[in-house]
Amino acid sequence: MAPGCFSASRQALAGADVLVDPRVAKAKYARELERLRAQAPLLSSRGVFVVADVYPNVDVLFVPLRPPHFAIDVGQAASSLIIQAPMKVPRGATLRAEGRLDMLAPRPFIGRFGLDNFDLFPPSLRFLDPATKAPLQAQQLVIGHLMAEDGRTLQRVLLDGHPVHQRPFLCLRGIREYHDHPQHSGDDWLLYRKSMGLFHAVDLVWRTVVAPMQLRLIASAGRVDLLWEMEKKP
Amino acid sequence: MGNDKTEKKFTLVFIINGEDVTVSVNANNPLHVARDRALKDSGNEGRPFPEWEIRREDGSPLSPDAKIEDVGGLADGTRLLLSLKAGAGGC
Repeated sequence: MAPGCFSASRQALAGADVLVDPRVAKAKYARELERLRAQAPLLSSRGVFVVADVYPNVDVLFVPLRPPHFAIDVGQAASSLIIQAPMKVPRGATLRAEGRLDMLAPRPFIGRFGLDNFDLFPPSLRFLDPATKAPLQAQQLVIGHLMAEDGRTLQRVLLDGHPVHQRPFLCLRGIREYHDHPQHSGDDWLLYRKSMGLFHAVDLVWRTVVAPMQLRLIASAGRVDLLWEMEKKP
Repeated sequence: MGNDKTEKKFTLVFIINGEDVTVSVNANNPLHVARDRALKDSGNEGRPFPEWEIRREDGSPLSPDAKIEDVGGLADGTRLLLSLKAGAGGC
């Protein structure tokens, strides 16, 4: 059967509760969780922590560690503005001060990975508030990007309004919402399931949403701009 | 009559889907030799090897064609990540 044909069938079955024998699914869930926990030292160094595991979900807390940078036109800054950070004012004609706000970082979030029917289905991903577990909206999340293979083009990969799931989603291979998207019905998960799993999905979120994105605040001429930039690796 | 080209062996640890796979290769080899061996040893032969990306633990990519001894920051026992290309976009 052609992968695309199966994909269409899988989308039709997406509402079904159980497709994989629960004993098999739970054994694979346990294996995936064990693999994730085995990499705890690496993950924690990235600000990534497993905080709950109740079958079929694994809740992973992502804590962005990169503080925002700022640039302020000193001539325009109000005298009452308190900047609790070391500032560097370049010599010369420029009035711009630049620095890093070490006490701040983008908001943490929980990625809830759903392994129901794994690995007939890939892991699903929901973005939740860490305190309330309420779903986060797209505008509450860092705009995730992936560097294209040319090393120059940024592809936006955290998108809003999934046509099937109706929520923000990561448009990347190995994530259920990508494979359930009608525009990816020809890129079936079954082609990859032996090579991807929970660790891969967690790594993808960190690599595209958390690690590379640098917030830059630029205040000048009576306005403040917030820019997300992707860190350029050498 | 000795060979003055001494073979320098390198041990690299590849993290593949959360599992550590250790391989020992000659430092003169390009990195893809180590990648391919790790994928074979771990039974990850379902996808073409060039589809797998090599990354450092900080997420930065490494060229599979670079000689191991020429890649900065690699030491015996260094841990690297191997993952299939993510294939983004198009939504």
